[in-house]
Amino acid sequence: MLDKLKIALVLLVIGSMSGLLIWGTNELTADRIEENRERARLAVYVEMFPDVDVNKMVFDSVEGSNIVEIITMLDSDNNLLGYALRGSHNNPFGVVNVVIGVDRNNSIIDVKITETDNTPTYVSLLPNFLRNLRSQDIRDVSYDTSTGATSTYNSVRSIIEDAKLLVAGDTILEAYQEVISAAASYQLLFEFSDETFAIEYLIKDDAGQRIGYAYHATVDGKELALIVDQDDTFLGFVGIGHSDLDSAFTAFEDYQDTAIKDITLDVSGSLEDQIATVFEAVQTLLTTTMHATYDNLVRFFEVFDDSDELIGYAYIGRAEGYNGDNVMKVTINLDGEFVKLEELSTNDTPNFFDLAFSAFEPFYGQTSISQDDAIDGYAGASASGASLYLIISSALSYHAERMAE
Amino acid sequence: MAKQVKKSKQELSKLQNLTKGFLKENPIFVFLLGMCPALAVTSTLETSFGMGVLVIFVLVLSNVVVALIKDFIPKEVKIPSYIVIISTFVTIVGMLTEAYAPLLHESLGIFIPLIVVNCLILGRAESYASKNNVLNSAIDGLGMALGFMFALMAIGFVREFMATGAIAYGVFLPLPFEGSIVNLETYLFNIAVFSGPAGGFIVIGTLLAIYNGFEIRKQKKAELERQKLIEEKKRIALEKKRQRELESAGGKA
Repeated sequence: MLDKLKIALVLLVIGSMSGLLIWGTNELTADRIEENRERARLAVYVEMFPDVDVNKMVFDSVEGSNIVEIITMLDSDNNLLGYALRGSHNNPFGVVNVVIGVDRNNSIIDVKITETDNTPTYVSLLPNFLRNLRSQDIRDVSYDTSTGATSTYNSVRSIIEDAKLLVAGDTILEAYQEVISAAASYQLLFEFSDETFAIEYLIKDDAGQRIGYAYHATVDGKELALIVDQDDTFLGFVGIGHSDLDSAFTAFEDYQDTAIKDITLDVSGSLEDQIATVFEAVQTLLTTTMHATYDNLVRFFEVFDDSDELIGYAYIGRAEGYNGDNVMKVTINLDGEFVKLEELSTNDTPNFFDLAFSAFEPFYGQTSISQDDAIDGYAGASASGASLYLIISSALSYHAERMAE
Repeated sequence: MAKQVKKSKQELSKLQNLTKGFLKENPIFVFLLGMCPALAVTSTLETSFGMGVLVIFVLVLSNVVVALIKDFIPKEVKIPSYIVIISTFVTIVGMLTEAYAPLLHESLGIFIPLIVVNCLILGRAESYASKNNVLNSAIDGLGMALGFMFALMAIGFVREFMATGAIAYGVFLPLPFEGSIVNLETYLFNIAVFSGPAGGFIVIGTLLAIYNGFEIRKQKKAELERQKLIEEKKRIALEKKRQRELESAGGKA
């Protein structure tokens, strides 16, 4: 007992002394470190805006975004030079701080990583990616593909995307609000491949309630969205960031406020026909599948065997993995048993994802999965495993609730 | 008496203790300890020097503290205690560098906190400071860290020179002047690979080969000397034997 007390006491003394020394050093250096950081940031601003009057910079903090501060740059005659947007994002390897310089015409002057804990070797892979952003319009910025430094790249991209929203305004949300005035936010549900429409968004109101769905497609080089309410009543088409297709949309006004599955289109005209193709593709989707109103689930549909007999339900779910969202299909039979897991899309590292995926195969035939059992299986691939667990357990719970109803 | 002779053979003088890490027990070229910073931060002479200074600070102070409190630390928690002590000094050195040499701090980046897991530092705490007095531990820490710094600087010198043709100063360190020496950048030396990780491996490999080449030559030379000495002794013994035989033959006659 005395020995254990002695160990505890020694560790306590060592820990306390360490804490005291670190506290003292922090007291001594904190102000100077902050000054250095401020000076380094100022040097970046001046490099981006050589004519700026440093005494006339206006600092505005931002909340709820990866952008933490917007600095308005004025010259000595009070002429607007542009904006510096200071952003910060955390990825699994630490923090990435970025400054984006934008001139008064919304053209990117430069993007610089000012501070990061990410592995220097990977950070050093980014200069070309950053250089290629220069002179692009931030409202319509396009990115080079991943650079080999995926986490740092994704952090920089997230910061730029938020800067884009702040500079350009949210053109998508503004478009939705033309049709659903209560629209306050939207969330990516699904990205389609080989479909007439590309993306499905969930539209939410101020309270975070589902109030509709939007299906984005491109017609004649212009992006549009077909919008339905939460009961799949067709509400109309809107152009995203433009009004070029508005005249073609008038052909669909007669069908507004009708359940999409009950609509039979009768429109004519070249553009109208192309828009009608989008409409019919969405109509087919919404007729054959149903929205899953559950966290981590997108939709579900019935599964039939070769003789057209109902044998179960398939649930499409998405949840955040190691490198963005994993999208999976979970099949559940009529007895409520989990019978199949299929990958629809993932950006996770294949070896880790495969390890996590195979950890769930032993659960085939079960009606529920305990988190403790699942974790044992996917140890070593925790991010991918946790994402798959969320999707499968959500599908099983949602299925059980539906059946109980 | 024999015991005393043996003891004095084992115990090094203060000077020998200080200098043993320079070449004979060099952490990088002999023990291959601390290879992570040796590869990662030696792209320039200045960053190598900077990392060397930080390691001197941490190694000397952690050796001193470990030697001071070694008798109070229960053996069950020796390693965790050493790690806490080392990480304290690493945190302090990190803060000081960020405050007074921000460019060096930015350049060394993540490799400053990684000094905590430098095998050299924990190795000296466990193998030397925990068994010796404060003064000897401080000298050992200083000598080993200087040896480590010299090795880093040798690697950094070759890498920077091969990559840029020049050796710059005042870029990362808070010196009141900056410039470059031996500037041959317009000539042959502009081989970018040497500033990257591959260059680190190439240079360390080459320097290790050169160092070991010298060591092997030295050993061979010493072996040759030893053989010569043995031959000489044999010859003298043989001559003495012959002389004795001649003397005894002359006496008989």
